[in-house]
Amino acid sequence: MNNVRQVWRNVSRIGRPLRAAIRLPIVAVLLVSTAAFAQDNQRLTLTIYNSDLALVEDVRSLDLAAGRSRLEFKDVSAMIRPETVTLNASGVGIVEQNFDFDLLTPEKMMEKAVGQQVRIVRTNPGNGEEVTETATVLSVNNGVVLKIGDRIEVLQADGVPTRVIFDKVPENLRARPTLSVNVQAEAAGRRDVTLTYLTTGLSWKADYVALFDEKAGKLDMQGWVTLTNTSGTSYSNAVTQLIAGDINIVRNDPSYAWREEQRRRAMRSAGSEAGGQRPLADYYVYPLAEPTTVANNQTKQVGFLDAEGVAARKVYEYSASWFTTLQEPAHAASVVRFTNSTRGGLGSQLPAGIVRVYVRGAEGKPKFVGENGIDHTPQGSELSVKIGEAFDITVQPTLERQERASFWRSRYSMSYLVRNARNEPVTVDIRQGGLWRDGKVLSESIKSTRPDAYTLQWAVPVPANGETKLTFTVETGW
Amino acid sequence: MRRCASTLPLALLAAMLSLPAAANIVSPRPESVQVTIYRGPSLDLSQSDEWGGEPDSTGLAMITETRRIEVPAGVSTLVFRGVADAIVPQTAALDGLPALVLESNFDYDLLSPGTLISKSVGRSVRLVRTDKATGRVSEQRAMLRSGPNGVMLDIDGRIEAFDCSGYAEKLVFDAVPEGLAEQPTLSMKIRAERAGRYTIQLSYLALGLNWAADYVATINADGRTLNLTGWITLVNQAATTFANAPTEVVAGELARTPDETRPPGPNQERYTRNCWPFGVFESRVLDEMVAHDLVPVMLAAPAPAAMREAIGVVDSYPSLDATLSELGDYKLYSLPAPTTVAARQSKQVRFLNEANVPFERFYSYRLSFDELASATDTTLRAPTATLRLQNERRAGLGKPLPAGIVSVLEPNAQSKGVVLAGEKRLQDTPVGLPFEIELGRAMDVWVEPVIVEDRTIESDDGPEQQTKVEVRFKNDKPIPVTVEYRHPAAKGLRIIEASRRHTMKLGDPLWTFKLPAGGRASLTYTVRRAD
Repeated sequence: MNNVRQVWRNVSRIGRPLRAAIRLPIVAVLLVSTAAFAQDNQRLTLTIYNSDLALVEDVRSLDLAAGRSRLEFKDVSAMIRPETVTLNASGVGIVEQNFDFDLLTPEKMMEKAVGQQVRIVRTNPGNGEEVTETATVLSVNNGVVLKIGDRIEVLQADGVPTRVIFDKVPENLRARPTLSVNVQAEAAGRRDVTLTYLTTGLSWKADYVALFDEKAGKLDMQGWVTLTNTSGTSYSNAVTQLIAGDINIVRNDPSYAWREEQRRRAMRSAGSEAGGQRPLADYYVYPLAEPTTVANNQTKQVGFLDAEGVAARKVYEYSASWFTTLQEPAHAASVVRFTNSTRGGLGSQLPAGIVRVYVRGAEGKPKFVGENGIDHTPQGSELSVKIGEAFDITVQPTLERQERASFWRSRYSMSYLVRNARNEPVTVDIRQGGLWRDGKVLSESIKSTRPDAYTLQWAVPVPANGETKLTFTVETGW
Repeated sequence: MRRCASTLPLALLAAMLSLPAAANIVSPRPESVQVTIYRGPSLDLSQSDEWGGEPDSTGLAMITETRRIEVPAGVSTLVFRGVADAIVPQTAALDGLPALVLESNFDYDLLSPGTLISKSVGRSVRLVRTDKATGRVSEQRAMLRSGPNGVMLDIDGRIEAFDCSGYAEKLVFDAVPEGLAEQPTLSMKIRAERAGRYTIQLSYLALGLNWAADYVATINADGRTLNLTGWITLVNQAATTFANAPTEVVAGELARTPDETRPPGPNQERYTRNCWPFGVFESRVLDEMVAHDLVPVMLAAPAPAAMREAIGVVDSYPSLDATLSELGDYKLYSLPAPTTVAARQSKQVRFLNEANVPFERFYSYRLSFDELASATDTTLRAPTATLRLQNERRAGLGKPLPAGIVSVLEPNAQSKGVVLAGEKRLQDTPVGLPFEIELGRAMDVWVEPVIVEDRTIESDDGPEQQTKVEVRFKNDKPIPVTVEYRHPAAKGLRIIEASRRHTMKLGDPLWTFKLPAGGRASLTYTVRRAD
């Protein structure tokens, strides 16, 4: 019910390009009583996007009578966007296209019966005797008011069990939202009819399993396409292709942009190698070469990537966006870096999804150590996946001194005390943001690099079971 | 871990999907199961008693099941029954089977009153009515016209609503519609080169399991050492029991993607009556709805709160401790013996037991201008009683301390027992990191700060604020105490003059006083800061 409402609300906003493709002849409405139920020899093609959207192409071989007839499509997606429907068949013109979503419920039934006659069956609670009367429904407002003969009554006002019998279900009340198309065929005969529409409730993403071997500096990576279908309909034997890319879709969800922003952070440098999917447009296409069945309320996975021995390394990072003191030390982030270039051993573009990282535990079994999202990543990019916080590596930032250098400029003296409780030396990359105009380093205990005008970075070596204090003083605008 | 025995491009994989599948091979249950539990962001284990409600606050578990299966050569479908109810299906991986996984499916179209009705729309059902007066049962065939949000029936051309008339009536179905299962089902379509009997490992992530560390620090009679006991509290908020499972917990903050790593929503259609309005007797309708179970009723008692009550029992009998090892950048604690983590249960295992850990007790006070600005009748301020510990082997500790709540117990001479001195939430604390446990406001130790002067000084770089502070310290205890007084850091802060020398702590000037029993001390200083 909610889905139907939502589809309808979207009607005026979305899907204009597709709608423009429909050329509806303006013809007077003519109800055709013989509705052909389209079931035969269905051939389905699904094009699924990774943003809760799919294009369904539904080809059926139908025997149409000459002239006007009505086609009802009951088994289309329950989350169809009706405004995106097009129907194509040779020698067939579309008279009118309807999407009826007024659902048949007892309440709706009674509302539609206002002014009409129904039969009332009352059962005597004492002896079980049934009395049938004919009544006219006068109104349905916080209760049903009936006219029985010359009596005006409220239905079931006395709590006596009372059945209501209706003669028929009104034309436009249906069990499911139903798409119907009135067509005009030139001649009778069997032909292919192609129904095309967009639907929500079908989506896919990539799930990656990365088995990381820190000592060897390698990771094994498998990629799985995860299809989900919550559209309310199953698709049997569908030719399926998956589109990776961010096509523009009008969204209502304010948290969407934030989530998208988060997943874009993993890519450090975008690659320029040509990928295997040879994109013509601004997206990658992954066809499943043979048809598959996507059942309703199903999560389906198919493998698409399997790479061994990809060069990878782990780094520790700590980033501060401002000069400030933390009252308790923070942990350095543990980050796995690798590239998806051919030289690095992966050699594949990576559709957006979740990378789950595993390492082998003491007894050799893989154990989960963290997960993060990645964006659509072209081949040859460098990826940086934060897997968690290092228990044994802490950073204590302290703003030792801050003073005015002039009316517009300030001096900040920071110290970062980096502690390492591991039995091996480590290097922690400390990044300091917050430099503004004319920011400059006055002194520092370790030589910094400058990734950009506003950021400083130090590679801080920390001995095993020891600590290193990074100190520096910068001067910057305001 | 690897799901494929060999590398195959997608097209080839997909080409095999269309091969005719052999009969399903059902693996009814795992032979054994191993559980690794990762901590959720919320350490308050009693907060979320349902994994479905708060996916981002629950813990995560990696479940590794050992199963024995027999597979034929060629394509077949393995159906895994008895997996954890809060499984995240896209994380399922198969190990130890020399076969190619063609596709992995998780079906959760479940049989419920709602789906039974919705899948039977357009079909013939039986309508059974019982006469409330006579008890006579009548039965007739009806065609289900709509549902499950309000059911309309077609009985020989008469259209009637179901469950709206006050009759005792029910629907009887001839069969369960196809495609509805009693529980979510994980299955994998595989292609094996050779038939055979294999012992395989099925691993996956699941929600609903969580753990937290709890500490009890009991201060010894000498007042300078304490005994520190750490407990792992496991909670299973899910409906699956893991029997006799080797269990581990991981300490450390993992990066998580809670929006993605979660079980697919049950997304089930529910039956509702959607009757026409009854108007004049709504209260009776509501009673009836309750009788029909249509008004939400609390079904099960919530899971018991984490058993923190048990923490008072410290080492009254020898216990087996969890053992510590490394997992990447995290700490892994293995429970000493396989354990049964039952559905909706929590249990505790000790992982730390250190006696005679020295600590330093002091009273800290950090000047707050906001507090001083709000006029009160007293200028006396109570500092915070704090314990400082060095997490070093030579200081009697030197163990990783996973985040958790530390409860400090102190002997009490009057009651001849122990009393709770205070609680503190401890962060993940590696070896070598000193840490402090704030217990609460001090009794009988006082700090009395008075701002005696506050004025603006013009300097070349702009105006400065000059503040003169007089502080008196009082110890009314019968024992000597240490007080640490801090002036808050500020832009351009410098000390113009002070009656005693200071040190620095986290950017703040710090003065330390050792006060004998009943002792008094005072401090006068003047600071300037940029205005």
